Amino acid sequence: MIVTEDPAITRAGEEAPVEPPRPLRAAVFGLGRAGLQHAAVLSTLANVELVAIGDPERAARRNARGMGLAARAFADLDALLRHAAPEALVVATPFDLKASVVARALEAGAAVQMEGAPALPASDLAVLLRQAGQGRAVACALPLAHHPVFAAVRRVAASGTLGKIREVRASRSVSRVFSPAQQRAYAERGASRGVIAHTGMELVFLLVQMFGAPRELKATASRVYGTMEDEARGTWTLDGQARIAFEVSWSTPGFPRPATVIEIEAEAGRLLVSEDAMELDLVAAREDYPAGVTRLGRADVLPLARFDLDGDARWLEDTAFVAWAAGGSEPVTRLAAVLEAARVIDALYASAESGGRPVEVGRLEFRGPGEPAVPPEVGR
Amino acid sequence: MSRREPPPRVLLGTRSLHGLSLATRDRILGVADRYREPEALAVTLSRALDAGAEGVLASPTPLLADTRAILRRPVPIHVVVPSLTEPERLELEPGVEPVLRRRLARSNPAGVRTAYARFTRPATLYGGDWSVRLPVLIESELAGMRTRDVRGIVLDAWLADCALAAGNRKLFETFIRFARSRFRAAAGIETHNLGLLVARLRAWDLAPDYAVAPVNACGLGMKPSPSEALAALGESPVPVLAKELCAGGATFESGAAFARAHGATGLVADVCELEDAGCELKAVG
Repeated sequence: MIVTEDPAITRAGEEAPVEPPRPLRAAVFGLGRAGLQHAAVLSTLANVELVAIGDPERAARRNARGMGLAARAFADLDALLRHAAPEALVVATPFDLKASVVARALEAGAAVQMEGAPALPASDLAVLLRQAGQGRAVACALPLAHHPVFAAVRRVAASGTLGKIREVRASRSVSRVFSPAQQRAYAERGASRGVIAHTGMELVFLLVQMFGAPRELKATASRVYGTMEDEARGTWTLDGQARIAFEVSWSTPGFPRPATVIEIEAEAGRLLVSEDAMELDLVAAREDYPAGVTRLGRADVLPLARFDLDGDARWLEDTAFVAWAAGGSEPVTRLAAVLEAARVIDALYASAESGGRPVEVGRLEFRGPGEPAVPPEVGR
Repeated sequence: MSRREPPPRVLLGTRSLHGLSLATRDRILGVADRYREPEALAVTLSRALDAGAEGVLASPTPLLADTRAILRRPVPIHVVVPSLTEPERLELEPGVEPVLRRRLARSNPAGVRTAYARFTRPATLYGGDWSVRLPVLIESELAGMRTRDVRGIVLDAWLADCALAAGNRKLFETFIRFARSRFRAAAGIETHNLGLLVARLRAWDLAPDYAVAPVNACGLGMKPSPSEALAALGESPVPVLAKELCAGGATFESGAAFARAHGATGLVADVCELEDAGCELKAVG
């Protein structure tokens, strides 16, 4: 049998993100699904020593030890910070504990990556960002932002290949909530927000990253299974011309895994992207892309993770975070960038609660930590 | 395999029916729809066995049980444990206890073996210890199956890769010993990190009967990098069954040829990669 092609070996530019340039002490607090995944990934990184794990629940700590993690386990965050002195901490606690845990970790001088930042109002994130001050690494876990295909699309958008944007349509769907009990399960984990924050945040973050934050937007939401919204639609305009429309749902059948689709109409052509592939259809050759259709699948885009845990994204985001904590460059999901998207999320909620009225994103009033931002016109 | 059979050269895989595949979402949904009824899967399974497949790599789901009941012929099974739906895979924290809690809450934990395993490895003493409690999980997963049909037990990558990352040698050792001694079956390990698995097994001096890992010309799912994974495949002292042969767009025949040319001992031909299982498996058998 003759094998004439071997792209697995010959593919040019096969490279992965750089792991930390110096030894780094890392820890994970919160040992649920995401926390265990972070702990597993951190255990595989060169130059990273997982020095501690922690969770208030004894069963969670036992499960983590049972998985094989040899790091010292703590029930209390302060004890973990005091005894293990991690330089980088991944916070994966329930939603309602997150802000306080991150604040204490920042006080102790650790770089922090938080899981589930979307559940927090922008005002809470702004407080954390202020507390972090200059030079402290604070990032958020948003795996979609590190997904190789969507990372490639961000690069295309930033390169100007598409020219002037005319219209963007986007959606993110997952089959997750089909009963009040399933919605309550989110609430029991401390969540007070629904699909916009949990499923939509990663999409909104991508849109804001690619096209900038809007000045004004409007949104509508529907509640099917409880007090939290199950489906939502939002729109805004770019520079008063191009229109961005998106919809999110966690109650659509047929999406066992989250499925994201972004379709961009621009003067130079059209771009369609999903988790599977990116398809670029250009009227004429631009930048590095020829005229006509260029299709890039998952195997064609870089970077590639060196450890697979439910895909590439988890490894890529953790590597970017610890590299930043060790003095490397900022990751795309740094808190300052996520805060912009969080303000958009707050405005989407404000608009949805006012029945779809336009809301200015920039005029949100932050009343203080823990309280939702309120747009002036809705507050009156 | 105290039956100590050589590792299978071709297995029919049904993992994509649970959403576990690098195929596109449309393809996975289409296949799930096609095999919604056990009759459809029974036809494909029968053709695959006639064409030389030595068994099926599958989780012990109701669909598989219904399919076997329809076939009325022995179907050698390489059982992937734990059996997880896609939402469970995405929601449960990795571990033995979370899965066991769901299983025991849902089904009658009858079965003398399951009860015995729970009695000798109680959660009150060993809760959270993956290596001690794994046999309880395996017993509960296989409770409804005839032991003689179980040719292999394969540890799902959902558990295996976490334990691998954490360096949990004891879990793999326990698993291999238990699968062989209790079920007289082959002990297989599914992984999406072949390079690390081969390196760790060598360092730990452990030898499961086979590993199951993605191998394809596009390098999808091949870690730590496609070239390093191929090197590990070539040097692996443990037989490797290649899966995800068509990932990235290869045809089944070329994917199979690629895997074999790089040292794969066997192939896992998933139902989502086959149009006509009989013809295609005969061609690579």
